[in-house]
Amino acid sequence: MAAQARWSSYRHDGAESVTWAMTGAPRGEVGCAVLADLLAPHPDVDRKRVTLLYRPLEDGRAARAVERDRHTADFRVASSRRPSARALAEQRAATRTAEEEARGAGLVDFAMLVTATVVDTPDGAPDALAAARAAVDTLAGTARVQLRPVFGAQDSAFAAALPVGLVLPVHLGVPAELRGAL
Amino acid sequence: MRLRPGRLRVAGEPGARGFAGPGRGAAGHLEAAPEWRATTVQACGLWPFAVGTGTPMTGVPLGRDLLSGATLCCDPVSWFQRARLISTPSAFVLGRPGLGKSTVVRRMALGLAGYGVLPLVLGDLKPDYVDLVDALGGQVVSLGDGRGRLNVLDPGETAAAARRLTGDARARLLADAHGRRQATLSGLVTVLRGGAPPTDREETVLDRATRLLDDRSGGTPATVHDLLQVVRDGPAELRAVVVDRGERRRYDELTEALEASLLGLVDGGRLGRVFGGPTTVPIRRDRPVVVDVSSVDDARTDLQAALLLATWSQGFGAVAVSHALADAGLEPRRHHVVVLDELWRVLRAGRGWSTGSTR
Repeated sequence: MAAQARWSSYRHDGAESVTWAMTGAPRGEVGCAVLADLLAPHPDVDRKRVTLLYRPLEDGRAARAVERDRHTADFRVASSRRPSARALAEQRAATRTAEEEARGAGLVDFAMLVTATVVDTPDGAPDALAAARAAVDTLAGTARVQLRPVFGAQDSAFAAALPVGLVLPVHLGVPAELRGAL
Repeated sequence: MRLRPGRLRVAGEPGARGFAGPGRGAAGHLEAAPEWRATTVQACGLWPFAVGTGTPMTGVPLGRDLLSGATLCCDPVSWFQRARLISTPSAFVLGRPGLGKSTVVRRMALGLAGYGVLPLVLGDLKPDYVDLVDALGGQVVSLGDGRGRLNVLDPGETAAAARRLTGDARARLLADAHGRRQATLSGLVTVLRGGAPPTDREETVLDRATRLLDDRSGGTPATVHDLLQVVRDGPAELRAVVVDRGERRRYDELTEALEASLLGLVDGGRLGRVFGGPTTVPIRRDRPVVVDVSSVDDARTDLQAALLLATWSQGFGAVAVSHALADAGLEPRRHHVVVLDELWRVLRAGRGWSTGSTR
């Protein structure tokens, strides 16, 4: 079986897939059904996979991390005479996270990958793929997340979204532990 | 042919990122998905199980899911045996008239027949299943006025099967058949009396009388006629359980009601044309079977209920025989899917069915 990664799609066996990564988590409050439309089957997509990747932080590191985030946000607000609305919102979010952590909540790093697969037909494949891209772009709006195709790394992103336990951050040139400390 | 790992070689050695070359799987660039930090209080908001999952591809294909378009497979035997989704192999189909309850059951029965499970349709009132079973090469048993008779005292294949068994297995099978026959008899009496079950004394008389007949008959099964004659004769064993204090007149008084009810089951009685003689076609246990009772008029609810009840008893008896022989290693193990269509008719016809009819 052969597979071929392209710049913005991944061709494997008799199908073609596109994988998106979440580049913007929902802002503000979301209900438990916010992902319902994104998860539900869609007529334009033969197979759709939504993978949520969680990396829980250890308790000791979590406390340090939230405190550091809060200090950073506080510093941004304090360093300007007229702080921007965004800086103020970040400060509120950091304070709330710190409060929740202090009350016993855990801290988790999460990411989301969305893979749409269409069956490769000799004549209609490009159209089907375009329809699938349009469908996922629309669904991202209803889920209040920002999605961006993983350009240039469609094969590894596809593999990372499979339930096989592939953790991409540990395979990078600069390991996760090092980047977390930066 | 099995591929041995050593034989499957790809030319060249893989590099750090896989085999180089088009289509061979080397990953040129890795990019981890951007991560977002949140407390567990907030991260659970992106609830990943907001929509249901698909169903397992196990069982008879029924059709497509209306929402997702995915194939839906469902039947009680496969979901119990292989998919392990349900804890008992049974299904109850409920729906408004004309929406396809019987069609679903037909489809399940047909699919299960393909899996090697024998459909056993005990009482087809429409008929919905006769053509299906006929096409499967099964047995169509017609019952009704002038169509066919059913002798509820006939143990069917139980007697022949019991002769092939020994010890406990034989005793169990015979006791099982006796209990089922007893329940059917008292069920028929209940139908004749418009819903009132026989009294304790009458139950005992029936039990003792059928045992007496078993001892007497030398091969040909007794009929309701013989049962009535035994009750009329009043042998010593029966007079003892009736507690007649040695007076024949008292015996006659106490068994009068039972005698009247049994008269309804012999020729000339209300249900006599169906139950008054020897069984015309016995139910087989080794092929699909449908018992066609569609010739009975819908207005005769008593006959319908009595027929369904007696048919269930005979059908479950055939299944019990099959299991007993398979347990003893005398026959291959057979699985049956028993279809009880139009259950509500029997439930409406009288009380006491839950103990009397469902094995």
